[in-house]
This record gives sequence, C-alpha cells and structure tokens, in this order.
Amino acid sequence: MGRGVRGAPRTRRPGWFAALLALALAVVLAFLGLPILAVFLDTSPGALVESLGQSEARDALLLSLRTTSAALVLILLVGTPAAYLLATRSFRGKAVVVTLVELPLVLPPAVAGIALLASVGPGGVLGPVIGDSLALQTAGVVVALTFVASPFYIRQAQAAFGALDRSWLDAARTLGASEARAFARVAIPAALPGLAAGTALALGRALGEFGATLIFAGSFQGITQTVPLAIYDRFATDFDSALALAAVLVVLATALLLTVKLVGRSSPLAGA
Amino acid sequence: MLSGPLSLALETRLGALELGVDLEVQPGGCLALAGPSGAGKTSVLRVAAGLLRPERGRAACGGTLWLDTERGVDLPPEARHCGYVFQDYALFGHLSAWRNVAFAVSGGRAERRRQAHELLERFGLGDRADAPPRELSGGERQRVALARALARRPSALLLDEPLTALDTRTRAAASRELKQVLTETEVPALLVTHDFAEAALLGDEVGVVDSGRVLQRGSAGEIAAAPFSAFVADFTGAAVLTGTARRGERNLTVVTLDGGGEVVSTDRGEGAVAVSVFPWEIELAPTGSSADGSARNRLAVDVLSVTAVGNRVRVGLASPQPLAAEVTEAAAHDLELRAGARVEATFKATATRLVTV
Repeated sequence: MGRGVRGAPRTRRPGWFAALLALALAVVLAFLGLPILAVFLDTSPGALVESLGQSEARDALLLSLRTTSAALVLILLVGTPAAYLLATRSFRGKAVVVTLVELPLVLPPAVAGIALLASVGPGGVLGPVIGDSLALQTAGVVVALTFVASPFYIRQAQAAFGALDRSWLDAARTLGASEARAFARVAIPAALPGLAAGTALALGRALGEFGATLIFAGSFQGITQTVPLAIYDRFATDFDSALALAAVLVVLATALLLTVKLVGRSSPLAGA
Repeated sequence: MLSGPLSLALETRLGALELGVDLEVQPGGCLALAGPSGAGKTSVLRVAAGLLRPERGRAACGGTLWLDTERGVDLPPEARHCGYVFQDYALFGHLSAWRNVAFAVSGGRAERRRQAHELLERFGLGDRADAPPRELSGGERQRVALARALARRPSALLLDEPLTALDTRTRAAASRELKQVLTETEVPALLVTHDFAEAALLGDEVGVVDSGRVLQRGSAGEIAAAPFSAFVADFTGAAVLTGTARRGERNLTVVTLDGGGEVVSTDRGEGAVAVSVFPWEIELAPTGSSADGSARNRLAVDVLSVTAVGNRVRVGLASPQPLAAEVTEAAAHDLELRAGARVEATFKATATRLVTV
C-alpha cells in the first residue's frame, strides 16, 4: 500500500502517515482493551471465584444461559427459513418487510421493552389472549431477548443465503432434491459460515440484553434477573461480585467470538 | 434408462425477448442449439428442466408429460429426471467430488458411496473423489458435473455451454470426451452453445438460434453450405466481406471489396453486397506460388492469428477485411503460419455466397 516505487528513485519521506495509522490503532487497542483487561485485574482471582459461589450469581448465570439458549433456538428455527425466503424470493412489499425486520436493530432497548409491554403485556394489545403469562416471567425474558437479537441473525443469514450461487439450488433440484431438501442439504451447509456469524451476533446481543428485559420482565432473582441485570443490581453495593459476573460474561463472549471465527474459517467440507 | 424422445414446445416473453421454440430430440440423438448470448438458449434448457415456467408450453420425455400449460401440468424439476450440466458446472463447493455425485443417487449410504465412486472411476477421476471442487481443474470439474448429471440415470441430458468454462488447452480433450459420452448415452440430449464449431462437433443436428427463435435446423454441413440468412452465414463462421457488385464476364459477378481487392462469385448481385465464404473453402499458399488451379479468387492476405480448434487450425487473416481459413495442423506447420506472415488465400467463385445488403 502506497509503497510502490514510481518514477525516479528518491529518498523515501518519513512515514508520517504510517505513523498516524499505527497511532490510531494503538489508541483503539488501549481504549477497547484496557477496560476488558481491568475486569480481570481489578480483583483477585480468588475473590472472583468466591463471589460466583453466591446463590444470586449462580441463579443469574443459569438464567442467562437458559433464556439465551431458548431465544437462540427460537431465532434459528424461525429466522433461518424466513431469511431464506427474503434472500431467494421477490415479492411486493419486500423492502417494507426487510425494513420492519431491521427496525429492532436501531430501536433503543427501552423502547423495545415498552413496545413489548404494549403488545404482549397484560394490558397490551394481545393482553386478553396472553394475560400475564409473559410479563415479569422467565418466558418474558426469552421474548425480550428474541425481539432484540433476532434481527442480527436474520440480516446476516439473509446476506449469506443471498450470496449463494443460485445455480447450486437449481442443480440440487435437477438432481432430484425437493425444494426443502435443497434448502437443508445445499443452502444451509453452503451458507454455514454466514449463519454462524449471524448466530454469534445474536448470541452476543441476547447475552448482553438489559433495557428491554428490565422494562418488560423486571429483575427478579432466579426468574428474570439475567447476568447484566444482576451486575446492575449490585455494582453499587457489592462491586466485587458485579466484577466477577462481568468477568464471566467477558469469557463467554470471547469463547463465542473464537468459536465463530473457527466455524467461519473451517473447511467448507466440514458441513458435509 | 427410460428411452424416448424429448419434445419441447414453448412460447414465452422474457423481458424484451419473445422466446418461441418447438423441437424434438430422438433417444441417443443430440441437438445442439447455437446462437449468440441473449438469444434465449439457456431459457430453453431451463424450461425443459422445470426451472422456468413458460407462459405457454408443452414438454414430454420418454412418454412422461412434464409440462402442459393448457392442462395445468407442471412437474417440478426433481420429478423430471433431467441430467443438467450447468454452464459453470454448479458443483456444490461444500461437498467433495464423490459427495457431489452421490447427491443425485438414491438409496442407502453405502450404495450411494459405491455408485458415486464407480461413476467417477468411469470418468477417470477415481483418485480425485475426495477433492473439493475448488481443488479440481476445469476439465475435472466438467467430468464431475457430467458424472453427477448421469448419476440419476436421467431420461434426458441438458447441457449449457459445457465447454465454455474451460481454457483452450483443456477444451480439445474435454470436447472429445464429451462427444464420447454423448455418443454412448441412449437418451436424448439437448445442448446449447454460443459457438457454431462446438455445436457442429457435439451435435448430430444443429439449430441456429437468434432472438428467441430457431432460424435454421439441420446438419452442421447443411446449414453451413446453405445458410438461410446473412446472420446464419455469419454465425456459422463464414467470413463476410463487404463490397460493390457488378456484372462480369461469362455470367459471373465481380465484387470490388471495400478496402481493396476483388472477388468473383457465381451468385448474382448488384450494388452493395456481402460476400460470405467459409473458412474450410479457403486454401492458403505461399505468396508468389503460381499454382494455376480452378480457383478464380486469389487474395494477398496477412496472417493475424493462428488458433488450434480441435484437430484443425483456424487462421485469422486480413485481406484487409477480416477473413478466416481453416487448415490442418500439418498444413499450418508446412506453411509456417504465424501472425505477421503474408500468404495467398484462394477460393473458388462457387464457394462464395452473395447477400445484398
């Protein structure tokens, strides 16, 4: 980049631009890396482990894992075929549908929480049908997570399916595969790296969900208090245990990111 | 294998193109549709395979009705049993060669594996079975695509530009192999290509397609010898020289070529004309050789290019208008043909066709 030797040889200028780029990256690294590092450095490992032994922390962790997994299963089961439809068919009003699907991406989480209350809360539009089976319940956490996280997956999945060579799907059909089999045996394995990336984005978003959950489901230990809510609950009173939970989330998120990078990079034959 | 003719008739509008063809291919026969890109060739294949639904159409193969828009019959692609070879082969990138083939085989896991390996073996790819498509050469990919298309014991074979994705060096060998496969197969084959020479080589019968219509159908030789129109003449590879015609002696027509030179033709014509002459009618000789044959036409030409096409060599010439000759490899060698050489092109007055423009 920009190092090409052009024209007559001349002494190279001091690389002030290269230095500027390096400086910018250094600032970014320090700014992003230091806080994450500090989560582990600010307290002793022993204290971390000890505070994780408390029942509140364990409850929050378990609840986060359960609700996030449930939300993810819902997102994958419904979002994958929906994204496939958006990627492979054209129909009237598709642009509107796509915009609608993307809307939660830019919606403030607090607005999402209020919107959920207004729609599927006890006094909401569907209140007469649903009653209070969701609001302030674990199921409500799952609904909130699904609402805010699914667009991340669907967008990515749509892009991955859209980038598929359409002739592969045609070939599958002429080779005897029904449309459903072409989807399951060709489209999904071929789009796997993109689907994995979308899963990671949705997982990360769901794991960190705070505002919509708080407003729609509240923060009750063991029922609706996920890890982010538990951190918020105690950061003023018991900073060490808040820190311990934060550390767990950092580790989880890192593992997630690495997994996705590995799936994305693995041989495309792995899915065979 | 179900053996029976493939018949296809369709009328449909595709954007600005009015596609309308009506054709039949006998079992064991190969009809090669040749035409420029955008002529609607691929759409014909897609209609046959069930990947594209025409406004009106009827398709049947081996006694099975595939499509009848009037009666509301439209079998999905998977129920038509077509072996389709796609232009870029459309091998599944996430599956190895043998799994690509096994995809088309039904039955148990072991049976599918065995059949796939057997087919690859037949195509000389036994040792490449585990390779993913991206590690295969163009020629190997084409053979995997063929093996995969045949794996389902199709009742018809559809091939879309089967040689286009190959480089010129691979193409000669691949076309021989493909010809062999087409000769051995007992089902009707429909092939489309933008190259008339390829169509002539691979098809028992050739149909020249333009703007969604089959303009002329017959053996490659018939079409080349008696093209219905200037388009067909041009497309079949005939060189088209423009000039002005006048009556000459002994009922011959003399054409003064634009840019210099004169050509004598047995066809009648006056005024602005296009003279077409086929590459295989043109003889090349060293300049100054005074061979007194029956050829009335003798043009001094510059060699622009020398390209091997199968077992022949196509020589691009400038007369100064572009002209092409086809000679054998041996002749090309003896004449020391190379770009920049100057030779004499001779052809008989009877080998020219005049079209008034």
